[in-house]
Amino acid sequence: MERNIAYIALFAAFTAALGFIPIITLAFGVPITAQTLGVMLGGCILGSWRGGLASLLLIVLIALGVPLLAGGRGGLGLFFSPSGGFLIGWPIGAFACGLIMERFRTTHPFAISLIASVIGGIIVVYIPGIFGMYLVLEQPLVQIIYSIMVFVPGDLIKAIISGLIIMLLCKYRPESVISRNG
Amino acid sequence: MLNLNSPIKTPYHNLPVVWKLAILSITTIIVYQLEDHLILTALFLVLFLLNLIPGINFLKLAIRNLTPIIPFMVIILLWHVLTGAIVQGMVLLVKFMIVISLANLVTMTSQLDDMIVLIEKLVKPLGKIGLDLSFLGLTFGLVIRSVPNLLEITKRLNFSWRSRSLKRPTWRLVFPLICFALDDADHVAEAIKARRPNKG
Repeated sequence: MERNIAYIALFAAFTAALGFIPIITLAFGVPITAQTLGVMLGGCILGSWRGGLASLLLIVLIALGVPLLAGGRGGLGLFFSPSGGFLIGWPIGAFACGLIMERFRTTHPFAISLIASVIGGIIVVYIPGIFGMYLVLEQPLVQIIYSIMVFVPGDLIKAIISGLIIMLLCKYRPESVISRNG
Repeated sequence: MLNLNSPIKTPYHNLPVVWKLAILSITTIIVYQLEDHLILTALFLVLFLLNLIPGINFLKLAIRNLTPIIPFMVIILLWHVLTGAIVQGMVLLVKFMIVISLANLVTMTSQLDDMIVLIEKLVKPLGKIGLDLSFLGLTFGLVIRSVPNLLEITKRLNFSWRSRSLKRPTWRLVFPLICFALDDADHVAEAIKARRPNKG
């Protein structure tokens, strides 16, 4: 129980901290932060329930007004903005990542965590995100899907990084990857 | 402590959090149904006045909290300009401004502790189906206290990297940072266990 509380809280904090590290800087100088990488890693390392709860805890704190989102943002207002659906998708995405990792414990860590991160951290997160944008922006669904495609390359890079980190963890401290240990 | 709560005390601070959240929810539902430009403009002005009543410094703080959403607003407006629906875009922007400023006002005038108490009350029924929710407040506190610690570690890792390499550290910091977080989690688990010996 104590271990679960500590892991969930520390992973929520870790995901928040990732918001302050620019992971990739685009050619025109805009830094892309890695909080979705934290969501992917949370699910892949902690497993479905703990990973999902870590992301849920983070978005609850953001909603309560703690400035833990990239750039020191927070508050209820974010959930009413066009990107609110993506935030709601975080716990579901982390849960999906963890579920895939738990189902394929013996598969190569890089391959399975890459797949889990793409499915959970991109596809599952994008579904409520697109739905939220559709509700708020009142634009055709196809147009919204087309417009968010610009984020896919960056998220694919994060999925690859997630795969690499899980592979390193499995190699150097396998006991930490709870999703594969049960 | 990390918080977007306003240091300037306002009359809104005395309103119960549950009322403020109820007003926010009802207003959001109504605003997204409205299409009348006049009513929307009037509501926007009311929101502006609500932010102005506590004083100019409070208004400045509220505007500062809203600045991160400006790029979104610009993108939405450009999108509507490009698709030829400028009026629709402007109406949508006013709706956003009303809802987001009201949500910001609730955030700024509600103490984090009161919000946590409300959440604990809301999830209390889950205790009846056997979920142990006594740790909820502790978990919130742990996250809020751990973030500055992890940011400090990130700063040190960044400094160490830069002292050894001319290249930028970027994602390479994530692996050592995650190791620190996992080690910290083990230490915190031990500390919680030591403080809650009867909770199993």
